[in-house]
Amino acid sequence: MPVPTVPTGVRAARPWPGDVSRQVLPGAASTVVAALVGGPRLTGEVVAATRTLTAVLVDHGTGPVLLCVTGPAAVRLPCAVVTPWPLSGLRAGQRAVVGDGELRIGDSAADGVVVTAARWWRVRPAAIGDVALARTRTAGLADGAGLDGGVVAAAGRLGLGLLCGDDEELADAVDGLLGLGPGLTPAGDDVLAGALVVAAALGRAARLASVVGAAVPFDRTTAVSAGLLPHAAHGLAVPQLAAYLAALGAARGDVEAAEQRLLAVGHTSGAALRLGAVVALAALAGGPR
Amino acid sequence: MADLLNDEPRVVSAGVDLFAAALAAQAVPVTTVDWRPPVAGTSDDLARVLADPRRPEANALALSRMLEAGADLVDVRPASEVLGLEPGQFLHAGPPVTWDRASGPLRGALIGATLFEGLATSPGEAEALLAAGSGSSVEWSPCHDRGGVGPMAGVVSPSMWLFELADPVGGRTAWCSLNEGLGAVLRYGAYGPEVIERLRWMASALGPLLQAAVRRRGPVDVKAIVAQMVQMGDEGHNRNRAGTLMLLRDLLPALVDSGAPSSDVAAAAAFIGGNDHFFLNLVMPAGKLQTAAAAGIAGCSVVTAMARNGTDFGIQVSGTGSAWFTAPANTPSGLYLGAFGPDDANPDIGDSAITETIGLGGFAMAAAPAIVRFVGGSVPDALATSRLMYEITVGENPAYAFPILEFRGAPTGIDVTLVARTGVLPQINTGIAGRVAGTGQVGAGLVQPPMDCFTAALSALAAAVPPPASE
Amino acid sequence: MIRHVEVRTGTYHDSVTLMQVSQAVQGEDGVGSALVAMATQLNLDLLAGMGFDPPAASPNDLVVGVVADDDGALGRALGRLESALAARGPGGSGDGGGFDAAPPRSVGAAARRDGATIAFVSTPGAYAFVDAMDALQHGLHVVVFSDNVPVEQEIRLKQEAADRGLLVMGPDCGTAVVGGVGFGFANVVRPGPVGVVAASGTGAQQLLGLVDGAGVGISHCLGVGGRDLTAEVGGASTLAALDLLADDDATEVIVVVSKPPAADVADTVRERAEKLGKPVVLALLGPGRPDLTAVAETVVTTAGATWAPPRSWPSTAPRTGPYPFVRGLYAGGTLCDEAMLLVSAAFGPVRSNIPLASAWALGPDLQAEGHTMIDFGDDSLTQGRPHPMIDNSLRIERLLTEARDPTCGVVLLDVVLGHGAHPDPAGELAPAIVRARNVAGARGRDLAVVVALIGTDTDPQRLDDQARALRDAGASVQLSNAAAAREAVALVRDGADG
Repeated sequence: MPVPTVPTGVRAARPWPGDVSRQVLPGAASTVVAALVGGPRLTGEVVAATRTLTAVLVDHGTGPVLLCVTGPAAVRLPCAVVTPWPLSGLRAGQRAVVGDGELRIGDSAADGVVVTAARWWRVRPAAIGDVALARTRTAGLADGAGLDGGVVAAAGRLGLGLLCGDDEELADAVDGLLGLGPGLTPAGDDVLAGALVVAAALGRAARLASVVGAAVPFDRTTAVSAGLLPHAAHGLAVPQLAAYLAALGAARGDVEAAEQRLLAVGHTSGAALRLGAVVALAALAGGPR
Repeated sequence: MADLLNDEPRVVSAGVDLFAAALAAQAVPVTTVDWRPPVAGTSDDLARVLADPRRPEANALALSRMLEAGADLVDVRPASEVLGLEPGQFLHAGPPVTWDRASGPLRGALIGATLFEGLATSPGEAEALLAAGSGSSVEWSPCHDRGGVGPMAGVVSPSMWLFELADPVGGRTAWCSLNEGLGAVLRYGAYGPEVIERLRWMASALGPLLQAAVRRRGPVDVKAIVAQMVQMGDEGHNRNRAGTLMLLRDLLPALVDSGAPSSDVAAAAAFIGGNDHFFLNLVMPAGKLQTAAAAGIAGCSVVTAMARNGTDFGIQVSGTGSAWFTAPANTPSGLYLGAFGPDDANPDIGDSAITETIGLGGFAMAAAPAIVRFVGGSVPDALATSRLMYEITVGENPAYAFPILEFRGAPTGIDVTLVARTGVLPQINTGIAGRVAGTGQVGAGLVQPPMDCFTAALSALAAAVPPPASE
Repeated sequence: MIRHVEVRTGTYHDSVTLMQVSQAVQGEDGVGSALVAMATQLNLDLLAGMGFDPPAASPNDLVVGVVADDDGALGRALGRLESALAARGPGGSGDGGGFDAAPPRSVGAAARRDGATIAFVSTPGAYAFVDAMDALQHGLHVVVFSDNVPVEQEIRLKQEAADRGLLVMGPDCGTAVVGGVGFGFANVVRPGPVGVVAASGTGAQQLLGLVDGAGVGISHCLGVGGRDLTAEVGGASTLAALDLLADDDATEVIVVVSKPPAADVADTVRERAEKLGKPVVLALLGPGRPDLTAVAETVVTTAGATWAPPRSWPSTAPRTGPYPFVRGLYAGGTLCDEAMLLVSAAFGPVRSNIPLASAWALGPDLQAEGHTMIDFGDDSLTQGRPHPMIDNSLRIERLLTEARDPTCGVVLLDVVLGHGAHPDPAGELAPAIVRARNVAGARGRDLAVVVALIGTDTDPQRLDDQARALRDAGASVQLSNAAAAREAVALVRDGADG
């Protein structure tokens, strides 16, 4: 009897009216976290609960993994379980159990929520078709309009570190960015994420990823922000960044429209992701290696 | 257009609820259509019209032309000048009708117009003359067929003065009579001496004064006033109070400055200001300009006229040109003046449903909460009515925005296919004329067109679909 | 006893909802029988069959007929009717509240309102063209679940879709999976490299179940409708679907499932498939061709995975034949076809309402004769009633009839799981199987029941639970329909065990 080798991460809710309630609701798990949701039960903790997002951190042995439950209108994070409406009434510190096709949050049935992973949705790693074209189009754009000057300067040091620095210089640049700025995803982390996504798309993420990992992001910045960096190292980010990179690398890509959509992400997240991407393109796409 | 395999699906489901529920259980955003079978007997015609490859572009063109059309009041002149009407020629509201089928109010208005033109000296004599019918010394035809509109009976004779409007975009013109006020008036079928007296004053004093004022002032942007009135509690059919006052505001300086005796100006200003419906007769030709811009587009299923003559309700559709699709008119239900009651009501009458044809009147009930009880409803009913009208229209007119619906544009371009598919009929606000000739207005209320007009138009559209090209 | 009949105008409910309402009303104490249905001729005939004088009504009216013991029971029944009708609706539209609180009345209005990407049309076949065309003209891809759509309308829909760069799945598309989303009767599948283009809904479901069961995931399953590869339609949607899958990064292996197409259509499809740049398995079903299980094996090995025979749950009941004839009671047409091919290859003629040869056609009464297979999902048997994947009652009735028929040896059933299907088919079929076997046993016969269980581990009905319940009822359960049919053949050939 063949045993399925890949857990689907999906256990469909019964398709009858009445099951869709505020306590038990269906969710669509990204292909990045579907296996985790479909695997054995693991305990975790709510690390952030906002109006649009509930972030859960789970440890499955090889380090903490981030899952985010969001409503359909929220920015599509690569580790999102998307529900028909955002969860409400949850708070950081609450217990969470992930596995067996479900995500259970809260200690009691009364204040708890059960999200059943009823299907998956596919996350695609970012790809850049014509790298040279993308680099040409972004040359000299590392101005970081709308971003704090400190972030722009730190991003510049990251670029230098990637281009010609030794590991220690690169580690200093990463240190300068981790946790830099206010909010759930500080701008400095977004710059790092943007750079990691581009590095992954170029097949050159190993060095930056290991330096970032060595800096122990979970000790340095918010759990949500830290949890997104490992995904970025695999080229996974919000679709607006992937679309922007795709447009940059396509002869007939509508770069301007894609850029506008990227810049509209979060308060400064889009701009910081773009800055990190541009810096990494300049540093990594030109070399002969 | 969606990338089927990559975009996150957002689903519209029509049909079996079970499958919509199954999608919702997968955390897929689903909009469920409140689907029901189309009006009985229309499914073949619907299939043929929906298959017409010309239709999507034709309807889009009709909508864009309707939205672009402007409406300026450019002159005020007698019908004999504007239309070349000769003595004995009359125009009337709605589709064509013969004397023997004409309703009380239409007969009354024709009698009054005959007296006004001096073609008869008594109502009896006038009636005999008219009963002899077209082909004798008198004849009548629809206002719409001459590019204009008339409220209620809509009777126009050569000596009556008309507002002339022009669409600066399409270069078309349209016209409408001057509003006489409420109560015992010609358009409601009254023809007593005071009615004829008022018509004479309008022709001898009011008309020339307005002409002088408009010519002195230059064109009045009627479309702009309509846009403002729907944000001031008017729906442009049964309530025109804000529109009337804005018109008066625009004309008054030129009226005063016209050199006419101040007593004449005062009388004209009092007449206009005292008649809350004066501006209706400018909303209507503005509507005619808007729908005329969309008329005659092959394959187009948008309604370009809804009009009633007190006997029949008729509609015209862009793709079938000037053909009328008629059925017996319904009798409005509503509130009655004084001792009048439902038994006194004549079936639906007037070209004023041109306002609904452009998304005002009953379609704009959400904009006129002050009169919802007058037409027998509550404010939530009014909102629901306007929202429902979006289900049978092809687009929205941002120029006429309803504040309470988040400034959503008026539902514009009634599509006969949507009427047949949904069974939802246009909602019309209207005045109610007395059944008996000579009575005048007896009330106001709500009415719907007969469905048969729309199914007949649909059949004609279906018959006009070119056969599929053989491949 | 009181007979109550009424006609309600201006209200419409789909037949599945009304069947649920009818059942709810019938469940009230003191209610003998109840029919709540749209007043189609068929339903008026049903009403007459219940002893009512059918009222004058049009198919757009709702007709209610209730037979109750007394006034109290009638009152309860009508109260239940109101609450059941009021409870209708999935509450699925999460957005569009506020000023758009009233639901849209047409597909186009819904599309304009909520920025949809795809429409699912399951309106009656006579009207489905208009709704589907409306969807296309508003820029939506469309799944047309409805059957009985005239072929010229299908052609027009597909032409419109081609002009607009959209895909029409259907008409008569029972199954589609786009990304992870199942439309219609669809199984829950793991993500993976296999893209399916299917002209057959249940054929697709068998393939999804077997491929997923082998641990290989599915990128998309695009239905095209049973007529797509005919000469008239020319494979329009198949070709469009192939192009979409060719451009899809997630899809690595493509399989096309269909009955053998018209010759020139087959050439076109083959030509396109060769140019796709991805391996394409053309699975054309018919006599002398690989069955769906063999196709699944090819797909799985093409995807680079290891194939093992699909799971089965053998019957634990002793086989004490003889088993004279096979009776197939199918919900899926393609599965019925596949079983008939296997049985007729062994024993010759198989009578059916969808016969392999016209000489083998069953009469209108569907009276069994020798080896017999009935497709209860055929258009002619689903008009005015829910599909047998949702409603087991017709097949249960027939199962008991077969139990009393001394010539019936083996009953072959398909049980289809997944979205849209009955929430617990074994919950109804297992007791019926026990009863049927008892009925036959009382007449001195062993009635063998072989079930083809079509589904995946992650289907909402829980495949393992379904399989065990059916096995515990005395049935033999196979995930492969072909294996189930072969088991039936073996029973007839070999009779009793050993």
